[in-house]
Order: sequence, then structure tokens, then C-alpha cells
Amino acid sequence: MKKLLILLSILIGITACSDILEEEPKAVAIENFYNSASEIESAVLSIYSPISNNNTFGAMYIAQMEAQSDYGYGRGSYAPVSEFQGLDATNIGRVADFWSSFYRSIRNANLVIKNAPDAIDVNESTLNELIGEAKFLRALCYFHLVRNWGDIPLRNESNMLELELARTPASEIYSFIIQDLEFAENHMVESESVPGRATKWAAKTLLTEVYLQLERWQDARNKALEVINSNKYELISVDNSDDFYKIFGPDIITSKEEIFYIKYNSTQSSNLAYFIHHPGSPYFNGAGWYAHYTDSVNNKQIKDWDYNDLRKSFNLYYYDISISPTTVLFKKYIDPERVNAGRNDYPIYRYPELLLFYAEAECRMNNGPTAEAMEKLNMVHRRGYGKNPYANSNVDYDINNYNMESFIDLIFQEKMYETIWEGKRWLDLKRIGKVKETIMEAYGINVADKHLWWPIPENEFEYNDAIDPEKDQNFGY
Amino acid sequence: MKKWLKKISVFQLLVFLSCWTVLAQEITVSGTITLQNGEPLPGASVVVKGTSTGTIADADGNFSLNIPEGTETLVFSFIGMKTKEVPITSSSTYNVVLEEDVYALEEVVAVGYGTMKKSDLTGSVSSVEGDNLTEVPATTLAQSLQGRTAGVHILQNTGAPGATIQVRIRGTNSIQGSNDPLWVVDGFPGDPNMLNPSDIESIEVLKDASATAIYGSRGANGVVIVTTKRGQAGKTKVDYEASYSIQSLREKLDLMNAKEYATFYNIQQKNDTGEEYFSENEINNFGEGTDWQDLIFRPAPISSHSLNVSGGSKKTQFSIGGSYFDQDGIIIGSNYNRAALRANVNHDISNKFNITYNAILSKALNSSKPSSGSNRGGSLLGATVAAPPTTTPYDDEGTYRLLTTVYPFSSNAIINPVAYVNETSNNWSSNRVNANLAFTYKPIDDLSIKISGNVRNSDVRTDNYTTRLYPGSSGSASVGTNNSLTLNNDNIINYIKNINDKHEFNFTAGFTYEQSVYKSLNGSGSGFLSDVFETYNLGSAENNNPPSTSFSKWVLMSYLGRINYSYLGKYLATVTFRSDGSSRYSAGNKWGYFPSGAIAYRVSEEDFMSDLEFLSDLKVRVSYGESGSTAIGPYSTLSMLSTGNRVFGNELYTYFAPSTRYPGDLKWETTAQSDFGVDASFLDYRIRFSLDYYIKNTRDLLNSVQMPRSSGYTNTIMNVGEIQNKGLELQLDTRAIDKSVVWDIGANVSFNKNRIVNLYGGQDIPGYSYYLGVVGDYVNLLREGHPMSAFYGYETDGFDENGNYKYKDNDLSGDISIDDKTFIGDPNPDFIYGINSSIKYKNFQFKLFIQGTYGNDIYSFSLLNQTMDYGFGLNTLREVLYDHWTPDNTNAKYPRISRTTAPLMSDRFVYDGSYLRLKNVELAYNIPVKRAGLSFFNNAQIYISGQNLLTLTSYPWFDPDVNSSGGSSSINQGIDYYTYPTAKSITFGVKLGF
Repeated sequence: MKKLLILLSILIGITACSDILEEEPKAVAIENFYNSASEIESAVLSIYSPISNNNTFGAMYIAQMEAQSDYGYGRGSYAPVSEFQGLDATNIGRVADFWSSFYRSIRNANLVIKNAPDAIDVNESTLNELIGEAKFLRALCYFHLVRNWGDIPLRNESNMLELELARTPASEIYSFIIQDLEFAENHMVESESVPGRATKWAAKTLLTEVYLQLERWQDARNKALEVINSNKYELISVDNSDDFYKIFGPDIITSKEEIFYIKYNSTQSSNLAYFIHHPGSPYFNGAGWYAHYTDSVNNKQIKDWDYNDLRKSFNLYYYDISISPTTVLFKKYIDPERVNAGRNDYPIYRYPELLLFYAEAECRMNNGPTAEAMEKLNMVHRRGYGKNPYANSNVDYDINNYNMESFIDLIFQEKMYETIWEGKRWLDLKRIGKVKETIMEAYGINVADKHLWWPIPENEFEYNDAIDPEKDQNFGY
Repeated sequence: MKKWLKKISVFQLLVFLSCWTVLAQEITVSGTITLQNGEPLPGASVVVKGTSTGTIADADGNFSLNIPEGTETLVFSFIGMKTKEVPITSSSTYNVVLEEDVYALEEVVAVGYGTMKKSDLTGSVSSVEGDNLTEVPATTLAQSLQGRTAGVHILQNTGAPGATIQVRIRGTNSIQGSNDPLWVVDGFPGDPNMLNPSDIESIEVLKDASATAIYGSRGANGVVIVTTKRGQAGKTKVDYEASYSIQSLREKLDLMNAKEYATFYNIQQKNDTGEEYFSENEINNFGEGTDWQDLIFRPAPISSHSLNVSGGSKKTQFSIGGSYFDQDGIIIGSNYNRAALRANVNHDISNKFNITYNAILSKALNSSKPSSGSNRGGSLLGATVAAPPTTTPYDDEGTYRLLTTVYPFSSNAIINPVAYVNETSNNWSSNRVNANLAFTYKPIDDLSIKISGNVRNSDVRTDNYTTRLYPGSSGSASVGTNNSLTLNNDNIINYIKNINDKHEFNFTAGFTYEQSVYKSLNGSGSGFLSDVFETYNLGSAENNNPPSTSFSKWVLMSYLGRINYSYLGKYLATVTFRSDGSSRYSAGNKWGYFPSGAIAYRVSEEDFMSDLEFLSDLKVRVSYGESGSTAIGPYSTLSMLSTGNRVFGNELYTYFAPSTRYPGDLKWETTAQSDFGVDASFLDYRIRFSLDYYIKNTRDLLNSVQMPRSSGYTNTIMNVGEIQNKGLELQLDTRAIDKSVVWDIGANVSFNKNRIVNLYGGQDIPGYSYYLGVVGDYVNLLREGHPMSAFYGYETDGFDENGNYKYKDNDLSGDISIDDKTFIGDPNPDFIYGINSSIKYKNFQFKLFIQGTYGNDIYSFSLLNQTMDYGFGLNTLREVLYDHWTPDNTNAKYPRISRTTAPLMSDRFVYDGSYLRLKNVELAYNIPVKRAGLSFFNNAQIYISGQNLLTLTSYPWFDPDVNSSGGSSSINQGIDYYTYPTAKSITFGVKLGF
């Protein structure tokens, strides 16, 4: 019995040490990360991820926007969006996914902005470059959120984990965005280490659009001018419509037009091409959902589009999907050698758009088009017609034919041709207050008020008691 | 009846005791021990009553024993036989006949960390014989348990060979964590899927807390103790069993033929576009067309072999065997096969030391054809039933037809099912080892110290390949390997103390340590020059995804103790305690304590009961205890950053970010269970009856708590929820006729009621939101006061004037919104049951096994997809064509045929999932080997049997035994979503003993 007790005590003795129960994962945790420049950088890269997902900039956010344009229609589950009467359950679910993605990127940015300043061995300028990049991306996310949902919860590095957070008025969101972008444009890198990483020029371009949104015309014009004067960007010349694949082709890694793109390749691909192609077309290797289409006769914008504009034949192709013999599908994004999905990048900001930002701001600032404004518009226009963008041409618009209002219309018409399927049209129409007018004109549809703002997702107010599902929901939901 | 296994410990003890020499005046007695029919009983034991003096009979049943003078009684016993006491007379020869003990009260059953006499049990433990497990050919042991014992609900997730089986013992306890029982194989937590059912001697299911609490933090979901075959001393026995089965699809679906299809889509096109698509001439030229079901389903064989050699001497016993099981699935290309080798050796080194070695090696291969889910023909089964009958798998050039472009209105998701079965492969293979070594030291008579170690290693490799011939594929391959290594060390002390032959104490105490390390490596690529590489040249892929690797480790250490007390075998009590320390929990919450206690009263042992002749045995039991559930994976409480990658330039860059789950401070889930049981036997044990009532309250349930999405997190986990399961289990076994015809009939039935008591802040927990073609919604909902995973949706209310479904405006708001949803069904059965009958007459035996469920609902995504999605050229059930809404037929079964029909997740697709199934019917013939002159056989049996030949159900899809989204922690229960159908089969078999 005595021996037994000895044995027992040995057994217990061996195991009394409870260090055995400490977990040592072969992994990193929040508490011990964000120490070196490369650690912080890898955390900054994580901010890009949620919004690059196929359910956001990887296609679905763009698909959502394109289904509510005046030049095309959504098919199948996107058809209700093209009716402009608010969202059905499926589409409510989709926009809820966008909300989650934007806020997940914001969380990842907040983690950097909160933790990076405690890093020990990072010099200040590198630190600020990285924090600047995080702030730019956070501002980008908020800019998309505020334009689609209006007042939204403002999550920054200090209230990240507060479960209850009320909607902040849009005006405060814009101030916050500007604050982030001012830091970003002052501290971010001049030129990117690799295409797809944001630079201070991306921050300035975003700031330009934010100023336009806030009707701060002079600030917008000056900011746009800074980007133009950097001489970093230029328009790529085209001779025929297929030359546009020098800008949008699946193999293109970057171009002189790229201010800020979301990048995709064959392993991490985008679904943009999936949405637009029919599997019978030669453009996407036997795949495609042809979820969107338009009509060369029945759609006024498409019908009126000049065939001499190379962008028309670049962007459209006939394909009978048994809706109408004049149905056309879009083809800005193609990948005939597709392996998984498309390698096509999504352009968030392309130089032509910045030029048009400038033209708009300059015109509004001066209450009418200026030669500078007209020249920037003509640059984009000429290139669309296959002319040298930097030399006068026979397709140029004459400043004398335009007043402020018609010039602004001209800019947005040009922008439509230039940025079709880049997800710009809806938010542009919304910004200039022409949604209802334009859609009425195009389709004879009266856009419902509830269609103008997306509903706050159910999984936000259900678990955030500071947002009341009755009082605080957007109109109509 | 070979129940020797269950008595193994008693047997060992006897062998051991027989070695003790008693220094006294001795006389020699001898004799033969036989069965009633005169067959000798090798290995039967003879012991001098009240002592440890004894021996065992040799191969011919003969024994010889020196006994002290003055010995009064000899005790003769053998496993499965009634023990017989014989008084010593002046004779020195004792020829003893032992009777079969059909009711095996003396049987020893495996309990946690030891064994117990069945009559001494205070807890709820049910046993299943190995023989029953092999009746129905099955890939997994869990499948073989279906309907066999009360309280165990087995649901097969799909009918695919080797598919996972969902096991629930006494209901569902956990939302987040596993609801699977703990499987203990030969004494250590193990993997039952290594084994073929023919390797099993017996299974014990521990159900109440007094039985499971000794397993502490892993006992809450019940414990299934699996014991593989063991040897016994005596003549070496060779047993060979083989069977061959042919399976076929139980029932084909009644789909439209080509002509009907064209007619149907003309209706749809007319309704939606105003114009018919097919001309009258085209329609008339369509005949039956292609029945895609015939191209995908096939009759498929199962073959099974097992060989077991066992025997041994007084000091050494062994059982060595091998088994092979090979099942083709009824979907072309699916297969599961497994070979297992087994060895068990038990040796007495001396009268104080014993060593036991037990090893199982198992190799399994599974070629699967993932078939379920998706919509608009995006999965194998979905496409098989939706492919247009008007077309064929191949085009004119002999390449696979792209079904997405057959018609302008064709679904853009539909795959070519023939291409899928031919050109995609998903192979899983595993090599698994489970080996134990145990060393027992008995310093004194009643004390044993057992130190044992266990190694469980599993190497798994998956190879998935899609050839270049598959439409749209340029060849894609993925390979995954993983290794998991689990090490166990158990140190158990057992001490028996008997006081005055009245009080018997049995103490068990121990310390155990377990650790498990899991590592994985995965790689994939696409774009291959040739299919010849398959998955064996990832380096040549045009696109290589970055390889991924992972590591995880957990440690569990435990102290355990148990005291069994028996007073005159009449009053029984058990107290157990276990303390578990787990690496998985937050600091401060690492240790959990799990006590239990039980008392039993064998009323029939009282003198005043002895007059009641009809009553053979009556025991009442009460137990209470707490056990736990691990519920979380390693590292769940750490704020880990996970790796991902993102494209910049043309390359992938690595990033680190937290996942969408915010880590919480976590501890164990605890289940407190009370059990009241009665065991009774009547008419000399011919009627045996067992009843248990239990209440299980699970608290500190790990509850996924949703976070507002603006936090960037989706959810976190907290210990907040509470669930209650209450139930009643009945088991009845009778020998109805005991003459030249012997008829045994048994039945079990289990009722369980499940209720969610408490969730975080009363928050509902919705199940997975399924995106079906026409509906995107969840169907399962967890809400306080309701059963787990109940179906939640809209209530249909006939058709409106356009032939679309109307729904009930339950909140009277004037429109249909999510507030109109209500509970529309419950996937939990009211009760489940099994009925087992065996009739023996001379050399014939006729067996029936019936099994079923009652009162559970099925939500059929299969039918929803198949009969509601009209715009996309999908084939559908024939009845949709003949009974849909038109202005002339407003009381139709289906709505108007239009792609604008937008059904909601409604009660329309809730079906009664009750069924009664003739699981097995068997006729066996025992060849009279002696009379037939086949003397080298000990026994020989041939049989023919049929499985699933009859199923009574009102469920109109392939099969009601379905749970597409089932799994150990799935809350998405009761869903049928294009599940691989269950087959019926005919089996021929032989059982030979040498």
C-alpha cells in the first residue's frame, strides 16, 4: 500500500505542472504582431482583401451598380434591380455583403492605425506611409458606404469593438474621410512598389471625387490638377477598338492610365467577365452568366452611341439570349484563355476619369467651360475615337457651343462612354441629382424613393442596439 | 452465443487465479464439461467456490484439478452459459452439462476504464452484439447501429458509400460544438471508421451520466465503447465469413420525357415571352428522349470478407484477423473499400504480471462523386434530374455537350452529369493505425495497477482531378495530405475490498494524458498539357495556387475515480469523479470537474419478492451527474491572425488579418443529466424489459453570438445557451416461443423532446442561408422555447389570381414580410424505433429487422428546386406538367408555369419524414456439418438477405433517411438537397468455422 502511494504521488507529481495546457500555436496573434515594417505592411495588405473579394469589387458591387444604369439591364436575379423599385430579398442580401466587406476592410485598417504606432523598430516615415495607406483605404470604404447608405456607423481605431454604435450623419462621415485623406496624401508613397498598391496620387484622386461630392469645386479642381501635374499618368493611344485591350486586357499588369486598380490574376481572379458573357461567346472560354445585357435598338443610350466611337464596338457584342434579336452583351472584360475566372483588374480610378473630374470642377468653379476644362474632355473624347489624345482633331467639341449646363451634360455623357461597366454611372447620376430624370427619360420608369438608398443590413441592426430597425432604417425598408 | 469477449476480465482473473498454489492437503478431481447437445466446452472454467483455486477445460472439454480436502462446492462457468455449482461428493469424476444463458445476467459489459457485471450496473448502458452489426452490409459502424438500440438516433447524411453518419445519443446537446458521442475503441478514444463491422465483438452504449461522467469533458454526448474480437484459451478456431450484395436505386423519379418536356417549356415560354419555342412538328418528333437517371445510376456490388483466427493457452490468448469490404456506389464511379488487419495478444508473464497488445491497421479508399446541393443543375444529382430529356450527353463530334447552351433559356449553371461522373475524380485514402500496449501488475490479490499506452496515427491523402475533357476545364488538380497523431497514456489502479461477504467495494482511480497533433499540406494547380499526370505533377500546372500547411495541437489531462459499492448484490451505488484539464480553454477556465452518482436497488433480491415466481429480476436505478463537451477547436480563445493572399502586380502577396470570428473567453459546456430506470425480467427471463426516463440540461452552451457587421467581425462565441432534452427509452426482448421453433423478438423505441431554454440575449440563431435558384433564405431556426433546428418560414395559402402562391399574412400587416414567418416544421422525430425478430427451426433461421422514425419533417430543397424553377429549361416531375395552375385548373398542385413564379421558403416543401423500413430480411441455413460428413468444419451457414426492400413513407423524393447538411455540429437538420440516394440490395453470404 505504501508503494502504491509513492507511485500515485509520482504520477501526480509528473503532471502537476500545468504548462502543458498552455497553447502554443504555430501562428501569430494580434497581441504580438505589428512590430516591424514588414509585419505592418502585411497587415496593410489585408485591408485590400475583403473589398477585393468577388462579392464586392471582384464583381458583385459593380454588377449591382450596372443593373441600375440607363444603358443596360440586369437579368435573372438582377432583373428586379433594373426595375428601380427598391431591392428584393436576394438583392438586399447582396448589398448586406457589400456592407460587411467594406467594414471588414475598415476593421483591418483600424487595427493597423491603432497598433502600428506602437511598433518599436520602424522609422517614422515608413510608419506614416503605411498608416497613410491604411487611412486611404479606410476613406475609400467609407466613401462607398456613405454614398449608398447615407448615415452609417463610424468605426475608427478607438471604438472598434463597441457593439452598440449609432449612425453618424453623412456630413461627419465626409469630414472623417477628408481627415484620413489629408493624412494619406501627405504621407503616402509617391510611386507604388508594385501595381495595385495605393499611392498619394490615388489618395488625391479620391479626395478630388470627395470634394466634388461636397461641391467644393475649387478644392476638387486643385486636387485634380496636382494629379495631372505629377505627369505620372497619360492616356494610351488606340487605333482600333481592340486596342482598348491594351488597357483592359486580361494580360495587362499595369498601364499609364492606372491611378488605382484592384488587381486580379489567374489564381485570384475576378468574376467581372463571368457576369457579362454568354458561354457561347468566344470571350470567356465557354463560361459566363450573361447576367447583364442591353439592346442596340431598344436602349436609347446604346442606340444613340456613335459607331465611330471605338468604345462602342469595344464594349458591346451581339448575342441572342432569346430576349430580342438586337440584344447586345458587354465585353470590356474578356479572358479567352480563362482558367478559373477572369484575370481582369477592376479600375477604381483611371486617368480619364480624373481628367473628367478636373473638367467638371473647373467648369463649375468658373460657372462655365474653360479652355482647360474643354481640353481635358476632348483628350478623353479623341482617344475614344482613335485619335491622338494630345492633338486637336476633327471630333473635338467646340467650347463655344457649350454653357455650363450643357458642358456638364457632355462630361457625364463622355464619362458614360468611357467608364461603362466600371460601376460609375449610378453614383454619378446620384451625385448630380439626375437619377430620376435620367431613368424616366431612358425607360419611362419612375424610380422609387426607396431605391435611392440601400437598406441597413438586418445583421447590423439586429445586433447593434444603437440602430433601431424601425426608426433608423433607410426609407422604404 | 459467443459472449466470451464480455467476460474477458473475469476470464483473465480466473486464469490468473488458477496459478496460485494452495499449500494444503489435496485431492484430484476430473471430468468433462459439455453443452446440452454433448459438444465439449473447451475453455470452460472450474473454480473451488470462494477461493481462487481453479482451472480451465482443454480442447475436448476435459479438466483435472487438485482441490484442498474439505472443499464443498465447485463452480463451473463459461461465457454465455449459466454458472453451475456442483457439491463435492466422494466421487472424483464430475461430468457437468452447462446450459445456455440466453439472458446473460452474469454477462460482463465494458464500462469506462473497466468492466462490470450487467447485474451490478447502476447506469444506463445498452449492448449490441457483433453478430447484429454485420447483418446489413455497411461501410461504417455507426450505420450498423441504426435501430439496434434505444436512445441512439442514427441518421445517414447521404446514401453514398463511406458517407458520414450523424449519431445522436439522447438528442442534441450542443449548438456550436460536436454532438457526436465519444467513440472508445479497445479502451482508448478512437476512430470507429477504421474498422469493418466484422472486426467487432460487441458495442456498449453508455447513455446516462453515471456511465458517461467518467469520461468527463467528452462524455456529454454519450460514449460508444467498441471492443474488437478477442481470443480465448482452447482449441484454435478459424472463422471465415463472406458476403456479396447487389444494390440498386430504390426508386427512380418520374420525370418528364422529351415530348412532355417540350410541351412544358412551350407553356412556360408562352407565359413568359408570349411565344412558344418548340414547333408542333418538333414536339411530335420527340419521343421518350434521354432518361439521364439511367446514365448515372447503376446496379452496384458490395463484397465483404473476414477471417478471424483465435485461440490460446492458459497463459496466452490471441485473436488475429483480417477483413475486407468493397462497396461500389449506385452512382457510377463511386466506391468505398477498406482492408483491416487486427491482432490481439494477452499473456501472463507471471502470476503478478500481464501484458496485452492490441493493434488495428486499416487502409481505406473512397472514390466519391459529390452529388448534392447547388441549384439549376449545378450538382451531379441536380443535373441528373434536371437535364433536358430532349438532348444527349454527347454532341455530334462525340464531345461532351454543354447543357448550358442547349436552349436559349437553359440554365447557366447546369453541368453535364455524364461528363461529371466520367471526367472528375475525388479520391480519399487513409492509412490508419491504432495500437495499445497495456501492462498490468497485481502486487496482491485484489489490487491491480494497469499502465497502458496507445498510439493512433492517421495518414490521409485526397486527390481531386478534373480532366481536360470536362467542359471548360484545362485540367485541374488538388492534392491534400494530413497526418494526425494521438498519444494516450492511462494509469489506472483498481482495488476490490470485500467485507464480510456483504459489503463489496470496487475502487478505480487513475490519471490519463492525451495529446493530439494535426498537420496538413495542400497544393493545387490547373492548366495541364495532358491528363496523363492526373494529380501527380502539380509542378507542370500553368497556374499553381500557393501550397498551404497547417498545424494544431491539443492536450487533455485528467484525474478520475470511481467507487462501486454493493451490499449483498441488492443495494448498489456508484460514485464517479473526473477532472479534466484542456489546452483549448482560456487561462482560468482550463479545468473542469465532472461528478456523478447513482444508486440501484435490486428489488427482486428481497426475500419478500421471492414468492413472485413470474418475476425473475427487478431493478430500479436513479442517477445524476455532469459531463462535458469540448465544443471548441484548439486556439479558439486566442486572437490569431490568419494568412491570406492578395494580388498585386501579377503576384500573390501574403497578408495577416483576424478572421471574422472574434475570440471569446471560453469554458466547457456542461450537461447535467438525471436518469430513472427500471430493468425487469419475467417468466424465467423470457421477457426482459428496460425503461429509462431522462432529463438532460446542457448549460454554458457555446453560443455563436452575432456581432454587428460594422464591427468587421461576424460573430463571437460565448458560454451562454441552455438546451434541454427529455426522453423515454423502452427496450423489450422476449423469447416468444421456446420449443422446436425458437422465436426471439425484440423492440426498442426512444422518445426525445428537445427544447432550447436560453440563447444569448434571446437572439435567434438562423441556420445556413441557402441560395436556391428561386429562393434564397434559411430554413432552420434556433429560438428559445422551440426545438433545435425547427423549420421556419412562410405559410402558403393557395394561389392568387395569377397562379402564384399566396402566403398567410400572419402579422396582419397587409403585406408579406419576414414578420409573417412562423414555425412550419420540426426535423426532430417524436420517436425512433427498431424491431428485431429471429425464428429458428431446426437448421433454418429467419430474421427480420425493421427500423424507422416517426414525426420528423423533411424540408425538401430537392423538390423545391425541381418543381418550382421554371425559367431555365430544367426537367421536372411529370406531375408538374399535368397538374399546374391554369385559369381552368385553379386547384392545382403546382403554380402557374412561369419564371416569374417566385416561391418563398414556405411550408409547401415541408414533408412528413416518418418512415418504416424493412432494413433487413434474412433466411439462413446451418449446414449440419457432422451429418454431411464435412467434419473439418465446426459450423457452416449460408444465407440470403435483402436490405431496404420495403420502405413505407409518404416522402415523394428518393429516400426519407436523409440529412443533406447533417454533421456533428450542424444546426441545418432535416434537409434534403439532392442527396445521394439510399440503395436497396440483395445479399448472399456464407459463414464458416473450422
